[in-house]
Amino acid sequence: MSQPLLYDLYNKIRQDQHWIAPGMEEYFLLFEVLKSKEYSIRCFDDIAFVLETIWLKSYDQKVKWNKLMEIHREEIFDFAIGLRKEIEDLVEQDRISPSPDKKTKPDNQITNPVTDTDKPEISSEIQAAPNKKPDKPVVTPNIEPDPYGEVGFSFNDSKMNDIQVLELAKESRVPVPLHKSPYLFTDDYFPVKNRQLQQAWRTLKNTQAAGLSNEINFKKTIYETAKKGYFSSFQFEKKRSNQLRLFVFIDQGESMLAMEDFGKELCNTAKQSEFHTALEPYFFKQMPVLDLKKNDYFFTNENSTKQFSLKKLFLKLPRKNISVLIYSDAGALNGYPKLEEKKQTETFIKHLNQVAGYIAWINPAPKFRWTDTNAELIANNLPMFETSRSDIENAITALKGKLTVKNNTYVTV
Amino acid sequence: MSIKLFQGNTLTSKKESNKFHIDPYLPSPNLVKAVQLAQILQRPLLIKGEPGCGKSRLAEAIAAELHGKNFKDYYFEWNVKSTSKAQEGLYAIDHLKRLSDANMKWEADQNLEITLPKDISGNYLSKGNYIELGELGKAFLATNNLNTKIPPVVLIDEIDKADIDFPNDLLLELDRMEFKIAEAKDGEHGITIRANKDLKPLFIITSNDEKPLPAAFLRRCLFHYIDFSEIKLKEIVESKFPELAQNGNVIADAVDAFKYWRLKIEEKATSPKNISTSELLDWVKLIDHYHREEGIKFTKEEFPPYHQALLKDIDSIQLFAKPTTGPSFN
Repeated sequence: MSQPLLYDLYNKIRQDQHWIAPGMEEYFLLFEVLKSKEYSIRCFDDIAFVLETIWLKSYDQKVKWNKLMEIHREEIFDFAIGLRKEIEDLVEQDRISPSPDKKTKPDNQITNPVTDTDKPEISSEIQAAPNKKPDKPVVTPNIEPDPYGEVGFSFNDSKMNDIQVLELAKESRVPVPLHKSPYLFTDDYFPVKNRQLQQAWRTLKNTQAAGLSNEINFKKTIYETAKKGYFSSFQFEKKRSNQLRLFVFIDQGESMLAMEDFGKELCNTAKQSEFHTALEPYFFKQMPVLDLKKNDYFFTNENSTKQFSLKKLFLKLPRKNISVLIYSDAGALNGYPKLEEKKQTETFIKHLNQVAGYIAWINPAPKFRWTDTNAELIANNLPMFETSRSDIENAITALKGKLTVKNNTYVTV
Repeated sequence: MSIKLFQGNTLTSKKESNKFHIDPYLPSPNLVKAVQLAQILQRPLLIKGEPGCGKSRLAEAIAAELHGKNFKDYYFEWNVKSTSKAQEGLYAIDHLKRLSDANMKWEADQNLEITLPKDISGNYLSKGNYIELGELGKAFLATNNLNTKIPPVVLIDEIDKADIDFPNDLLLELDRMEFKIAEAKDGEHGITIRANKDLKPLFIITSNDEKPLPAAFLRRCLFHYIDFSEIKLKEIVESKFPELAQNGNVIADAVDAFKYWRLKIEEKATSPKNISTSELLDWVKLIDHYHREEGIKFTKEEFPPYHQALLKDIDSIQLFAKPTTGPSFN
């Protein structure tokens, strides 16, 4: 069955959740470019460049894109060759320009459909409804280094030599911008994108008027002016600011090694949002350290060089203004219960419930792994969520105190 | 209708660019192709790249090439700030002045209405009573100018500085090419600013990737990353300093050394920002100022002369400093 041109490539990009999926409009953009008489498409690289400009939306995806181009090289060749055939057929049929002389014309150069002004446009069949795949050429197209510096089309079916392979490898290497090095850190592999997290965090606030009345209330000023018929003075009000303090506790236990970065991303995005710019994450390993004498729990900074007491962190803060987010697998990644930890967990949750207004737990392990682990126990007492977008939004709802657990089910307050 | 496509060959020398009162601009072939695609498809072009690689100057260069000496009439520059709101690009109303005028009421017939006058051909002007159009609004009006058949060029510079919802707030206006001014009146009716849809402005949008842009916005844009390896450094420097270019190999040596230092910084990752075209131009400007006549000899292994223009942090300085020849930081 015939399928639309470049269907496999387009479909792969659409199905990959980490890409910004091009819509139908973006699919047809390619044909608009081909239709244009002004833009010159002469070789594989030209088509690859057009596809890159219209379908690629981030430099971080460039490495992946180059690999895709390699995988779909043949499909793009098919497309280009079909295109050339189409043009040549039209040229011959319409006899607008002399038919290309195959003996004198080199085979490794695609006909330039645009620089020769007397040539016709590409057929409307290709432009508007790319539902017909062009006939496949008899021989598999291959790439040869062009002596004039451009990669042209070759119908030579011999295998690439070492130099060509090296050239291709060199082409597909993407220089990493300095701010990304020495480690390439993108949000490509996070379950929820940076932007989605930022937007979710924005909703976590409890704004109240506080302090001196030094903010102009324009609405009231205009109302008073209209009432009196003239402007006499500005009306002032107290500044509204967020009273809710967010605390994020991240598990640095061994099982969390691969998951820790997402926890930091949660904090970074919360910091970038409007209301939690001063947020600093606190860390623990499997369980926060309990000091029985002081009846206090202790957390550390990322490098475990400083210790923070929970009592001091919450000092002078009203309980209703404290929201705590815990990011931990709660034993779910190990997949078996630890009886010792079970008791400790129960004690910690009980303590936290007494001192914090709202609590939510984000578990990087999928829900089916929670069964028979401490995660299951916690999820029965605290709102615990997976790392999907909707779950994180629900966790933030819980941090606002609008979602809680009653009889093992989540209830909107 | 044929389109006059950007070729990037107008501002290649100081002599040529002086006619436009701007600096030379030499885009890479790929950047030229990306602009051409944006022109053909009438889509905004999102440009990213290292700071100082020439993102922001592209739009001005396009406008100069396409519109000639009067390009300023068809070039609109919107420098986005962290506090920018999308509406500022459309129009701004001076509420305080209106309030003050209303309060004073010295003249009985004082016009307190927010109005936008029209010119003799019936097009709105960009400034009126208590109202002034923003850069987008002005660009929309420019498309109705009968003197040109080439679209105006709009630069939205550093879009990532604004709030993360800022780009989304512009989508409707960019799609429809029109907007309403609810507060203003034209007789009995409200005012709608419409662009000539056959002359859709060319939008060049730059971003430094400080904040992620929304998918809906990205989908509408074409995207190009200015790869530093594609930048024609030697040609750029020669075009900007033609007198120095006459002086032997000074520019070639300077560019070679610059590339070496850049590579070193990249390898050692000493700085979050590597030296870029703008640093190179500043540095060569100093060489041009002090050594235009007699030239200067230096090697890439040495501590860079006039390093103040090149090395912007202590780690990069330490990377090249040698205790015997340069300043010590130990």
